[in-house]
Amino acid sequence: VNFFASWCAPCRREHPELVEWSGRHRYDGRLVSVPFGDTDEGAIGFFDEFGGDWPLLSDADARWAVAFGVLRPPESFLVAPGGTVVARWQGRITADEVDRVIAAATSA
Amino acid sequence: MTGPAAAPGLRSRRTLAIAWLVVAAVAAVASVAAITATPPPATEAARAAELKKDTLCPVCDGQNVLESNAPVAAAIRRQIDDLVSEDRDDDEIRAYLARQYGEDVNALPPSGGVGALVWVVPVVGFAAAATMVKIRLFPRRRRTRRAGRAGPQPAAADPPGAAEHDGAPRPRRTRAVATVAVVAVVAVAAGVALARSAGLARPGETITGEIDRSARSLLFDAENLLAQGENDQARAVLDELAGRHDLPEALIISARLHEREGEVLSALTELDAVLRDDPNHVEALTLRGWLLVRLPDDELVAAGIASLDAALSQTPDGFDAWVFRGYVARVIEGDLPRAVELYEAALERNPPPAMRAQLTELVAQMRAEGER
Repeated sequence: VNFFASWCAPCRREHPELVEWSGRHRYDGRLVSVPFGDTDEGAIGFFDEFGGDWPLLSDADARWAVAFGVLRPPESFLVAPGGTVVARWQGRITADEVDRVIAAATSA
Repeated sequence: MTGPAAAPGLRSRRTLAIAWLVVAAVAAVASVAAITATPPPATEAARAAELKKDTLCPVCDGQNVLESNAPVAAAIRRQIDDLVSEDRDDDEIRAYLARQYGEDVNALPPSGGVGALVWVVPVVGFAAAATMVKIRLFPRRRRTRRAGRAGPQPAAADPPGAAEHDGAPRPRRTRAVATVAVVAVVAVAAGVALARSAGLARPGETITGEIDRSARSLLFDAENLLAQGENDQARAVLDELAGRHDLPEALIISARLHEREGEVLSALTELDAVLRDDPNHVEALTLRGWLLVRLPDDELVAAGIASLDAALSQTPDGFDAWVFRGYVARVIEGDLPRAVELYEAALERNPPPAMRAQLTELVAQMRAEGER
C-alpha cells in the first residue's frame, strides 16, 4: 500500500520503481496506491502522467492514512495475505528493496 | 475537677490561625478550580476543535493539528471530525490517535503512570505546605498539653521561642527541616521522572523522533547563527547537513542566507525545491513572494504577489506574509485601504517592537492620507 501525492517530488522519483515492482508481481502481488494530502483529480493526473495500472483508492476523509499512521508521502506498507503489516517504509522505496524484505519474511 | 485549659489568649490565637488556614485553603481550591475548569464544548464543532487543539502534529515543531498546515495534520483533523460526528467520546478518539501516531501526539499529560505526577505533585505540594503552615502556627499546642498533664504550666506563659534557649532538644524544628527535605526530594525526583518519561524536546525536534535528532540540532544551530548574523558559520552548518538530509527547513535557511548575500537566483532555486515537495509551504511562499516583488520585472512582480497571496490564503500565524503583502499594496499597488488592513493583521501577530512601531506609524499615516 503506497501513500503518495502528486505534489511530492520523491513520489515522482519513486513511481517508476512501483511500476517495476507491479510488473514483476503481476500474478503474486497486489499494489494499491492511496493519495495523501492530495485531491483525487491530482492523483488521477499523476497516474496519467507517470503510468501505473494498479488500483488507485480515494481517501478523501483520510481514514486510511490515519489508520496506517502515515506521516508524509511517500510512505509504503507491505501487507501479508492475512492482513498483517510486515514492513513500513518512510520515504522512497525501490522494487529490489521490497523484494528483499518479502524474501526475508517468507524465508523466516 | 476539670483538666487544664489553654490560656484565653492562646485559644484566640489558635482560632485566628484556623480561620486563616481555612481562608487560604478555600482561596487555593477556588483558584485552582477557576483556572482548570472549562465549560464543556457546546457543539460538535467545538468539541472537535478542542480535540484538534490538544493533538500535536506528529511531524511539526510543537504545533497542534489545528494550527499546522502539514498534510498529516489535515488528515488528522478530518479524522477527528469524522470520529466526533460518529459520536465517539474524547478518550476513545485520543486513544485511537495515540495508537496510530504514538502517545506523544497527545498534548495533555496522561492521567496515569508517571505523567500523573503533573496533576498529583501540586496537590501533594499544597498539602505539604499546609502541614508546614500548621506546624509553624501551632508551635505551643502539644507543649501546652504536655505541660498541662504535668500540673500547673508556667510554660504556657513562656515567650515564643523560649524552648530554644533552655538547652532542650528541638524536635519541632528538626521535624520541620525533615518535612522540607522530604518535600524537596519528592519534588526533584518527580521532576526528573517526569522529564525522563516525557522526553526533553529541543526546539526544532519532532515529537516522534522520526527525523535524525542531530540533523534537527544542526538546523537549530544554523537558525541561531543566521539570527545572529553569523552568515559564514550558518553556511558551514548547512554544508554539514547537505546531502544527508532533504529537510525543507534547511533549504529555507539557505535561501535566507542567499537573500542576505544578494544571491536572489540561488535563494529562489532553494525555495522552488521546497515548493516542489510542498506547494503550500507558507514560509517558502512568503520568502519567494518577497524576493520576486522587489525585482524590476512586471511578470516576476506578479508572480511574487501570487506567491504572497497563496501564503496569505492559509492565514499564517506569523506576521511576515502580512507585512510583505501590505508593502505590495501600499508601494506597488497604491491600495492604501488594503495596506492598512494587511498591516493591522500583521500587528495582531506580535511583530517585534521596532516593526510594531513602524507599522503603527504607517497605518496612522495612511489613515490620515485616506481622510484627506
